[in-house]
Amino acid sequence: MIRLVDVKKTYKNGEDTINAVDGITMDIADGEFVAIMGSSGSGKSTLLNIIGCMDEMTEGEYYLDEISIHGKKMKNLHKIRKSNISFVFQNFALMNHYSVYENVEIPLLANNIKKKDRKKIIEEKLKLLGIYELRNKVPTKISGGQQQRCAIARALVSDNNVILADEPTGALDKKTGEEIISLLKEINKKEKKTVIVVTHDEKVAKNADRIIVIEDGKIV
Amino acid sequence: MIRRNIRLAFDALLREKNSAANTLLEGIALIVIGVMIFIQSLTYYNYNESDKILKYGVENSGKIDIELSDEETDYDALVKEIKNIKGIKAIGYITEGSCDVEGYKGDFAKDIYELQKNNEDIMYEKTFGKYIETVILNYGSEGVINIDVDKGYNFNECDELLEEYEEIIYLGSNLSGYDVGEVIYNERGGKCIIGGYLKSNQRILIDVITGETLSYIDVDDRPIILKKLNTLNIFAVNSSEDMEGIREKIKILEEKYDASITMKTYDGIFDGILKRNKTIIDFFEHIATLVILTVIILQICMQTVNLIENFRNYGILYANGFSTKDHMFIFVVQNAIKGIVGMILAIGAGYILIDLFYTDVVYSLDILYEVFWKYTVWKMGICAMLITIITSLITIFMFKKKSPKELIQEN
Ligand SMILES: Nc1ncnc2c1ncn2[C@@H]1O[C@H](COP(=O)(O)OP(=O)(O)OP(=O)(O)O)[C@@H](O)[C@H]1O
Ligand SMILES: [Mg+2]
Repeated sequence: MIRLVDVKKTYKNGEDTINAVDGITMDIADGEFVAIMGSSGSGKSTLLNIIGCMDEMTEGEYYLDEISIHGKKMKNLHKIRKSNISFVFQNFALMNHYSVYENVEIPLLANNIKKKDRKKIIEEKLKLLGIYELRNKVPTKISGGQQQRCAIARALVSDNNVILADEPTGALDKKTGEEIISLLKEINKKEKKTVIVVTHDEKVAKNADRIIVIEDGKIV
Repeated sequence: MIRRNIRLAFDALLREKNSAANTLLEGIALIVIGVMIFIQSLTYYNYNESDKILKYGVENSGKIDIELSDEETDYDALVKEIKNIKGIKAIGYITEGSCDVEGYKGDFAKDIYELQKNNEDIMYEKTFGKYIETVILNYGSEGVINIDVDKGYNFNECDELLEEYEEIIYLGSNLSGYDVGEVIYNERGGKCIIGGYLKSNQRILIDVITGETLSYIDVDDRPIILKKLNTLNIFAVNSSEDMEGIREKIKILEEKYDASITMKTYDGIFDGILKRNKTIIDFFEHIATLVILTVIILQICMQTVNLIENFRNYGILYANGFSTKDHMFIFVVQNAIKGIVGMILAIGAGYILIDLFYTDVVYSLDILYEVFWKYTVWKMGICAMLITIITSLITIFMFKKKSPKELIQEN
């Protein structure tokens, strides 16, 4: 359960202040699939980063499963993020000097999971996403869609309840993009995970339970 | 957790962009630093060792330069008058050449003594060759002093040379029995003046007579005195004599013969050399410090850039659950490994360089290794540690300033 109450985020650029997120109040229930839409610069990524504890907010209240996030320092945000939230990025954010397998392993290493257990979990997720055969390849040697599957596998292994995806199809062609979205949808349904997707694509948004449109940092 | 982070640090070093090259660079930086420290340490070592140089006995002997302003002046008459000054024991002219004076004791001395006593002529031919003359100065099985004159003289020339030969020698303390300043004649009528005695572990400058260099040889338990003989005049005075009184008399002679005569005792020459060397050492220290600092700063920059180049990867780790503490650890371990590998490279290179540039003229290999291990390696290690610590602090600071979102967007 995600609850935002009048959340604001302002950036100071010299003299001007930019209200990237300007008083957003919303609830997202567990297991919901939400799409966030809006024009470029409307504050979607900023909002997602706040939800994902990647960024501190300037004002407002944020409760994640009843834990109050607001007012917490980056260090504590890190702990909350680690055990609750996984990310899928537009540019995949894979380590190019690691193989697919090793990339998926990262969150498990962070959680000090034993090697044997790691192997079991990783192989299961790689198979689920249909990239088991590619496990020993490095990201630069596989296609964009396969890279994003790898990133999603990585988001799944840590077994966090919330998956945030900032334009996960932005760097992919239409068909591959659709595949990735239906994958996310499947994960949302089967694994009962809350999925929040930022997207420009109406078709992508149509898959969502709910669409939130943002303009100038406000919900419209 | 520590094992995991060390593994990640190694992964980064081996696989990340430019990390391996950066590790090599650390090695090169440490080699440059090491060379600087080594040269600096060597000059210091030398300077400190030269403190052990013979300082007694040498106030009674030294160099005398005579310059005449008129070619017609009777040089020999002047020298004779100087010799006649009360207190002056000897004054002599040394021809160009080189001369080793060696002292032996114990069984070896006995052997040489017996050989020379019984079969001198054969000895010349067999052991020392046609062009080397050996003269025994001190008969007795207790000790033998051996003078070898080389420079390609033939047997007869050697004989001639040694007849006129005058020089100052220093004896090992175990060969004492002469007064300092005493003139002894070798069997061929050549003159030697006892300049002083050396204790074991004392050192004497090789070019003490010309007074130019800092080089010395070890005396240790086998007293060795090595001298280069250039064209110059030497003198010795009675140890009880007041040098000032002699100088006054010399002044009178200067006026009489319209000549300029300078007398320098060896202890004065030593002090001059030491002072000059101290200036050189101080100057070099400044340059070395400057070079070392520059290289350290350069390497810190290169290493920091290398880590920042790969910040995206750390952003990915960060966004996937690794903490700032983990990152600090990974940065420090990475930098430390670079330092350790760099040190290994630099120590290896040090060995090669020492072997490569080693010439036995001035320093023994032992001294070079001693200076290397005792004075160079740990200082190099401190520089490596400094690089590691400062680089880690800078990168951690830069890392902490960025949110994971920003880190992932790097590059
Ligand atoms: N670090 C920052 N410093 C200053 N201003 C920022 C920063 N990040 C974002 N902004 C500003 O905040 C506003 C919202 O940015 P945001 O990235 O959230 O937009 P977005 O909706 O994700 O846009 P896009 O669709 O192009 O990704 C923009 O006006 C942007 O210029
Ligand atoms: Mg955005």
